[in-house]
Amino acid sequence: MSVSPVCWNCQSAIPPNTFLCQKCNKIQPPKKIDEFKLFGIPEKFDLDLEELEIAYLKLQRLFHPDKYSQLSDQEIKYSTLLSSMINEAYQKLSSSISRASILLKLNGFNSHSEDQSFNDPEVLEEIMDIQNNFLEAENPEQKKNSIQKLNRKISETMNSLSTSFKKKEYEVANRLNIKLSYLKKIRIDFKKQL
Amino acid sequence: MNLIKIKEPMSSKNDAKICLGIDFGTTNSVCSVKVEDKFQFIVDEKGETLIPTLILYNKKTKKFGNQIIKDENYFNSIFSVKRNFTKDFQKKIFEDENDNKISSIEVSKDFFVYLKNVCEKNLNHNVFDCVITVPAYFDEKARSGIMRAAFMAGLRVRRLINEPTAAAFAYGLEKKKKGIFFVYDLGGGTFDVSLLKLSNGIFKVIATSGDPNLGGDDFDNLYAKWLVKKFFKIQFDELDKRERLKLVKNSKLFKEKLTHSASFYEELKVNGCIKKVEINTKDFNKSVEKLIDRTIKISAELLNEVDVEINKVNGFVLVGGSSRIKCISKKIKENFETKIFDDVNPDLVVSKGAALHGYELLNGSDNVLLDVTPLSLGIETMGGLMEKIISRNTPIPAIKEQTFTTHENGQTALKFLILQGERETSSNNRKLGEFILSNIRPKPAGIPRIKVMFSLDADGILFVTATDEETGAENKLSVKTNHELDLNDMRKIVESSIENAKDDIHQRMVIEAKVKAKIFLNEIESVKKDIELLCSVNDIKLIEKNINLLKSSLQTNDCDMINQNIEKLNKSTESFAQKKIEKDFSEVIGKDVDKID
Amino acid sequence: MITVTSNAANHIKKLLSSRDSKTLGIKLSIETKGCSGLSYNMEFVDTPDKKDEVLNVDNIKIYIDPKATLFLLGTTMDYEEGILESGFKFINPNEKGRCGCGESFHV
Repeated sequence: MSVSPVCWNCQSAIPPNTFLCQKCNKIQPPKKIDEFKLFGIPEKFDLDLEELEIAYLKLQRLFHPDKYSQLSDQEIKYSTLLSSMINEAYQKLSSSISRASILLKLNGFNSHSEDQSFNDPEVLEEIMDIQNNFLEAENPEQKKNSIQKLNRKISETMNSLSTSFKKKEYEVANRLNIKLSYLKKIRIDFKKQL
Repeated sequence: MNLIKIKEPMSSKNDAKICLGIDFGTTNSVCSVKVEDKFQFIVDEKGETLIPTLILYNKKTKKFGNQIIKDENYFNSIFSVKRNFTKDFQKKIFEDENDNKISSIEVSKDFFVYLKNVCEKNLNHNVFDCVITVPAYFDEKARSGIMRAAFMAGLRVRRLINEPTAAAFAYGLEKKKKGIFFVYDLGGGTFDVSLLKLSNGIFKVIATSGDPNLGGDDFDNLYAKWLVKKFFKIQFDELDKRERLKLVKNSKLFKEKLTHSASFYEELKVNGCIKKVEINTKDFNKSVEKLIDRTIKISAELLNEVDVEINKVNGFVLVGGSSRIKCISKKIKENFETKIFDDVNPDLVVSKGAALHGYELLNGSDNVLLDVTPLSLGIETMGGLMEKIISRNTPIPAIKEQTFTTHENGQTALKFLILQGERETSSNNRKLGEFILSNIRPKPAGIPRIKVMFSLDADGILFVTATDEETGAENKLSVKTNHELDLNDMRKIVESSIENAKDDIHQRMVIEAKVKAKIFLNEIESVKKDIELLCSVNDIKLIEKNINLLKSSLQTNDCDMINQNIEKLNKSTESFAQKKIEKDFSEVIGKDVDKID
Repeated sequence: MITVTSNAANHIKKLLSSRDSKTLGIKLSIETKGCSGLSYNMEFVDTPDKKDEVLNVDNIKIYIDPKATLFLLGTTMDYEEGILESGFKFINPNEKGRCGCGESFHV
């Protein structure tokens, strides 16, 4: 049903995944596009973060409002919208948790939402253990050790998450991603208590 | 292809793309500009680059900056007006040269007019465009206040940029630096820290933090308190205002002198009593230690928060006049294993960054500045809690959408309180404003879907728009925020005034008249329904005619005509205003009667 | 260094004759604007800039902004009269690309 969009200025067709008119070079209004396509990077969990950043900066160089400050109100508005969209997408892909959620969604798996109840007894027990370990720590040194332990757990979980994506086991990936988000949350809490 | 027309002579010169970089500081302001590849600082009539942010209204005259330093009325001048932007800056707490009550915004406007004139004299050219720097930790309200003051002064603000970002921009360009840098910016009234990544023309702020009410002023106060207690055995608060100001000024002079020598003797006069006292670094450091510790704590928290190891940071760049205090670099070295870069002039680098950025905005460049919002933005939810919509350190511009619905059947309006800050309860955060969404079509509760878009633009200024998802009509819903004019409208007024104004004074009169007219028209628009309800057909026609008259005069730059038309519209709505008061009054009374029943 | 077609020269003469005597000629410069970077600019000259290079083409004084000389080398200036729009046109052998709106170019 979708009609391919045309440039608001010169009416020539705008190819998908682009935001500059190839004919008149004018900035185009944003349209829905998935984060990986926006940056033109491979759709995978083990993202090269440097590659992501380069792609991000390249887009901001083109679309940041600073580049449009002397143009029409309409173009300023489009650049603000696009630049915001690029910022948000960059933040989402930078975080492994939201990146995993995006991948799950793109693969047709309805990923977890924040308020969905979570009851995986094994994982819950693991988290409780870590928390107890931290609370029982008597001195800063022990607390730091406990955080290091947590860090190891986080990287282990990341590795398994990556493997599950490679194997296309999305059910497993979803569970691991929920676990990861819990682990990261308690790490923030721990750091506050240092 | 476009065909080219021959333009009038000088037209391209008048368009010469000059953009001032204004560092509007708490104690000192600095202006600079880059014209045709040449960068220069602006000097005032005394030949000074550092222009004290002082305003003196006295006997029908206004004086500014260095004009006041030796004035007998020095202590009557307005100090640190910038500090008021984090408070209620609309409050009329000052008196101008004609004894009119004026607000901090108006005082700042006068100061911007002065700066603009100084720059124009230096450049021998009219200037309208500028980039103004603001403390990174300033909230949205403070930012928009500064912007309003500059607009009223006839300046077209091309961008507000954060002071540490501007400093890093100038520093990075000048020294061709790459890597992660921590900018420690201690000014006269504000403290900011920003962590930035610099690479090949990209200046990306990773995170920022600070305290908008911590600066050199506080050091002076604390030291003054210590001095008077130690040498005169008097409590600072027991002194009268003039004595306090004198003492603080002295302690500021001592502080500055201490950056050159470790100890010296000075005469100090308090309440008529003169004593020769020993001033030394050790005492000074001790008296202000808790403030420095606070800056160290804020710095450490920021590094901790963003998860950047200190060994990944290339070093600390010290910015802001107060960073000259010797023990600051010592304290930083004690707490962080890092290098310290103090090879820039900490007073001037911020303005330079603003001027360089301004030049690039108007002349194009491959460099990009990417900044973040310092404070979370949210709305008040039930129970007085704040729900975050855009969290702190989110890159700007940032846009978030949220869908709202009604709680009662037939509800036609929704009210929101917009907040900024990090506290959970809304009363601890700063209120940015209230906005009311009206003209929602009456429907059962929970059915209307109102999409509200919160847009934090590249200046850090918030715009709210709402759309009824059912009708898709954006304009049908009216979003009412403060009584102030939308900053986009103000920008347009300033732009239109630039084109045709005869001179600076005329330009500002045009801006004032247009702002007044626009606010009035907005007010009338908001009571349109009541007008239709309460007025006779003839009255409505007359009001409409006068509205159109005023609107068309807004297209011109004739401020007399605009003012006349405001008066006309005002006259024709007088009887309506009376009726409206009566109606509102009777509605209230009516409710009371119901209650008695 | 620059060629002016007779069509363009005639039109400039016509425009100059309709102005008061203080107008000496026209000035060509290059601005950074538009989407492809640079664009041409033409204006009447009342008081010339000392730095400008002056050419005499067909009895018309053409002042050239020193920063523009490099870009304008070998350019032909023409005048085009259309139904909707008329104006001057530059044919520049140095141009590598031109943006769709025609306002700017890069070399």
